Amino acid sequence: MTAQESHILNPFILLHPSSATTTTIGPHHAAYGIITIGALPTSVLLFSLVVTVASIFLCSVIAIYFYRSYRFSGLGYLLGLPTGFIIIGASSEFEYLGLVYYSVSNESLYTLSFWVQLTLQSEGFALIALSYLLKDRAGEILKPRLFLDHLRPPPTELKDVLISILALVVISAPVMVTISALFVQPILNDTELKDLSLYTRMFDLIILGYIFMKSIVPLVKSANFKLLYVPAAFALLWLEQYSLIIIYFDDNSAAFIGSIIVRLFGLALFVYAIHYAISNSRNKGLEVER
Amino acid sequence: MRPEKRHKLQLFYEILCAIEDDIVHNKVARPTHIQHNCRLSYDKMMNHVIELERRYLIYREKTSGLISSTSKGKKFVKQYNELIKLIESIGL
Repeated sequence: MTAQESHILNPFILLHPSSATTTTIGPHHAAYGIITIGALPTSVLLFSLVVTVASIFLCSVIAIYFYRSYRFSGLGYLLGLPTGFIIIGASSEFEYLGLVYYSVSNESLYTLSFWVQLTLQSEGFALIALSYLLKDRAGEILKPRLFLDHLRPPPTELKDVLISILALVVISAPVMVTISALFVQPILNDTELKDLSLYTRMFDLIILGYIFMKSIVPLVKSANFKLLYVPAAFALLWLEQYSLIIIYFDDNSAAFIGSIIVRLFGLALFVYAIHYAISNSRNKGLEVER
Repeated sequence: MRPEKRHKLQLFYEILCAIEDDIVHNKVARPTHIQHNCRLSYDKMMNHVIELERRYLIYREKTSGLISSTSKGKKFVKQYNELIKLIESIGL
């Protein structure tokens, strides 16, 4: 394959020294960085590999914890969390693969990896949101509810139907939007792919905002401020998507580095929150035994 | 107001905790004490006790009817506590 110019789809390419030297005005948007495809330094590939392995490891740890809870309780709505995190981990894998295809100048697989990565990431967030969306419909609950919850009127059938429709929309949107974009125009150019990435990242922002609100409200209601790590972790994942949107408008390597830091820190905070919650329950168990 | 329907896991947990509680205070766990602690009808409580016994979470003496939790039952209580903490921590 001959070397050709390409708009930046994978932000890791921003770390390539040549990406900072040349820029041009795109047909529809603000400035895009234009660089020559292929031949990335080993350090960039290595850095990407480290970030990918760390992301996959953290996502797998979170998924294992939640899968164990699902296996123990059999509550279907809990399954959205491990599946979502596994899919987010898999999306990181495609981010790295995209970079590898870029370095070997395989443009079609490079853009395909980008497309798969976007779809998987949005689908992962949508599945996590589904757990929060369906928790109220679970009917039987495990823990005693707050007094205010008892005063709330029971959910109506219309509300149930609306939640079902919303769940379907949330789950199908990431896949349907990206597939329909391909059906309308089978070969998307880089500019169109970048536009698609903007829409999916905006979808991710909305979904993560919803998850953040849903996770923080019960903790604030129960005045459980020690457990605010998880909403903070979701806020960091929101910030990652926001940083990636900044990269869309202004190919800024600082925003990209920031997005990597907040992603890894967010996932690590999530693992810490789970570990903290579980070790806390174990310690309490020991106190009761004494 | 009608009380919230309890999940089966929660009922198992409450029965196992009631057994432990009764053993701590009275040295033995009697079905009537467990029934009182769990706020269940005797029939329903016995149905759950039979299921817990079938799953080897509790042990019931044939002659006296006294109940004690097995190591599997204690592990269940521990895992249930972890699950609740996990669910609480993520706001679910």
